[in-house]
Amino acid sequence: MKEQHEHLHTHPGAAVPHSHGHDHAHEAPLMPAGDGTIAISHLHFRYPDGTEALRGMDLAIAAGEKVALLGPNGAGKSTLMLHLNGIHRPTHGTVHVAGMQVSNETIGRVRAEVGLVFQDPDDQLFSPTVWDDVAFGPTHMGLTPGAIHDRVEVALAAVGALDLAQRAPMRLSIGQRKRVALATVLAMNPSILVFDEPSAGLDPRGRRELIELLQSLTQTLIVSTHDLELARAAFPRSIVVDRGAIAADGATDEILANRELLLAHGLA
Amino acid sequence: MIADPRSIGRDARAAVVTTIAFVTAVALLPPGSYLALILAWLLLAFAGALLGIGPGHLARRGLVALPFVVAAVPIVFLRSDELLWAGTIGPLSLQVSGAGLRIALTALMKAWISVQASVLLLALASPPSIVTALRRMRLPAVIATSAGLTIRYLEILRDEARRMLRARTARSASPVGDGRERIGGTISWRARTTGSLVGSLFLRAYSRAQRVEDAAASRGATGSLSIGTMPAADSRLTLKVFGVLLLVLIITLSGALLPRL
Amino acid sequence: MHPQLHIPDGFLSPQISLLLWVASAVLLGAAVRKTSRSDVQLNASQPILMGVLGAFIFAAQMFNFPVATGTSGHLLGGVLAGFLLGPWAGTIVMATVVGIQALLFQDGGLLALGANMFNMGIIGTLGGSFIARGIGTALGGSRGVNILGAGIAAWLAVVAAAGFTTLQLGLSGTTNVAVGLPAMLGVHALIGIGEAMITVAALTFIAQTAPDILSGVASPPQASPARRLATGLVIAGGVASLASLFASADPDGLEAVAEQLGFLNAGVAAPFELFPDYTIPGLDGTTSTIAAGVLGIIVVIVLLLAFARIARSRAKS
Repeated sequence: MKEQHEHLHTHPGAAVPHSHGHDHAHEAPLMPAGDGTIAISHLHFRYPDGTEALRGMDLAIAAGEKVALLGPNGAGKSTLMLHLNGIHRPTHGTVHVAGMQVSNETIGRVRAEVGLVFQDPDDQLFSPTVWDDVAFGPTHMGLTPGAIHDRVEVALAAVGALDLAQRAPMRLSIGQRKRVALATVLAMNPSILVFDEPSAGLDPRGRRELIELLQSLTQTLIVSTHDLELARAAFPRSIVVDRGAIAADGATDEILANRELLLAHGLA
Repeated sequence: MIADPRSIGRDARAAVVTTIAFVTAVALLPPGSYLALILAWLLLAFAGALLGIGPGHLARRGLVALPFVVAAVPIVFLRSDELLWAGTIGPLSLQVSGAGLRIALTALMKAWISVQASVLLLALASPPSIVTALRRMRLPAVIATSAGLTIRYLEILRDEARRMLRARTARSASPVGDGRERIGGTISWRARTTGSLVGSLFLRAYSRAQRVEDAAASRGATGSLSIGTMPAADSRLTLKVFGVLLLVLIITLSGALLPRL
Repeated sequence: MHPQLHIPDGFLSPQISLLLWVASAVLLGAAVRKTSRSDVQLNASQPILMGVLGAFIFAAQMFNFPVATGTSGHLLGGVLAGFLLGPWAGTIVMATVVGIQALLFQDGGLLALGANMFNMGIIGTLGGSFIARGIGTALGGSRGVNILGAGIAAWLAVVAAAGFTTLQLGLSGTTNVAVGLPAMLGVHALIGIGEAMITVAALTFIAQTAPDILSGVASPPQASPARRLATGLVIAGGVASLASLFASADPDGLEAVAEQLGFLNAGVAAPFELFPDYTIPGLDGTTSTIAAGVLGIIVVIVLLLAFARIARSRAKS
């Protein structure tokens, strides 16, 4: 047991929808505070069982860039993405996101700046209603009920799911659940969005809608995917990851045209 | 935790009986039988070495039971026989009882040794083969089937729980301008969140159970699952049971004959 | 703050271990007979559902409930299992989970497994579930009231399991009941609040999201007003006696009690005889009265509810 923090931010009924408290000063609800950059240097990561998942990665991504991470299963893509949000910490090397080095001192802000959208929306959605789920992040951040309400509304509108607010996440289609999962992180106002296999399990229409949605986002975007057409359609830059290291980094069109490279890394 | 694949499908009754007998013999040793306990541990370490498990590794695995010693701490200070020390520390007047200390230390050693015995059992027999062995030893079918399926789906559901926790952590940010990790919301909101996670996992487990049932039904199962074919009975079981009795005898006699402290 | 209820080997005397193995085996045997005679609460076939939900309880114990920075609560899940599967099947599931924890994770001993199954399975799940039903029945049996009853029972189950654990350690001469009991009950009274909140929240979530699954569960038949009153009185008595135990557990008073008690000179059990006439440390004087009283009341409640249930099912068939 470490030091006990004082009880903070107790908002009775904080997560209750439609409790409009419009007396607060409006912030622009979805304007990120951070600068959206990512800088990774000499990143090494070893799992507790000894598996060396990342072996020295260097990477710089500018604000607003849209980058696809390509690579075979087990290449280290997911491990890398979990570093961006501080869920994994480097064994060696550093990770900077939105101008902050990921550490115990910054972890609370890092999680607000970097939104992780997991592959299986069921891992992410656990509340009785869509509204409650989207309100989780803002409520945890201790925002006022009015601010929470605004954030949830704007985030749901951004993914076109405002009409689903009172539905149970479990009862939605896979495409709807994926959109709601995105809304749950959008509501935290991140400057960087990280997606794991966003097109997995979607039918062609769901996939087209996803691509349109991704194209409409202004945040820095990082996507791990096996879906090369998705990378081509929405991500100008691609990074090929294999065996815990970066194998190629360049314009998506050039990388996808290099058949030898794709074959060498299990992408074709 | 996962045993040698060769051991799957072997009759694990001898291993189960040996472990239970060993743990019982150790439990029967009177307080202060440190020498007998050391002898029991040496037997265990020898068996471990035969199975390719080093004594250091085994000893470390045994440490998991140690936190429970908190339960035996009061007895050290509250008995007043064989006082080793009495005095005051600040406002507290304290006494250390030799008898109490002996009880606590003995319990600790027994716990440490018994944990290592079950570590060896797992090295010797896979969890499903242990369930089969218990089934042979008259464990009711409902319990055996249920235990077998629990073991089968344990890691899958723990993995789901882990991913759900990770997704919650990823969204657990601090207020703007605050760097360190903090926990937000009211206590009852956090309890509701945790309860919702539990409820979600239940619904996922429930629909998995229905899929398992459908799959079983589509292969012609009705109602309950059969345990599968039992491995051939261990032909030397009687001999092994005599070996076990010998083991118990050695430990018990060493407890009676070796000096106690 | 994990509940400290998984007793390792070495802390219980062989006599107590054996006694509780027998008690658990008998009650689990009864549970097996009950479940195979179709106490089926949910639609999926019983053993498959029980097995998968055993894995669920296991995994659900991983979910932490952040209380303050660095401190979190965890679910034990006995009453939850009993609510979702019915008291008897839930008890089998919980005993299986406790058994697998001992076998695969060395969480709790093998000889002590009988005691651990008794505390978490029989007391924590069977007893807890019948109390939950009793409260639900006494208050009219609506869905919300049943879930509330489960919450109260979840708290009681954790506290009672902690009490039984301490008494068994005390009877084994490994702990001092006068000091250990209030400490364990105090800590688990807090842990029990977390258990109650998570249990209520989980059941509420399931009721909201998938009411169809809960529809067959935990709706005891309409009871007569006399029966409701009687159930309510028995439970109130049990709760009151637990509460009085807390009231009596103030530190100053305990010191005096500890002085009075004979356990200071209590002999240690002769370990080579399974049933020696050994003295019971700690069960002497005031504490023993309180402890025995609570133990008695809880046993009586559990037995009464169990008998009432058996009588009812006899009457039906």
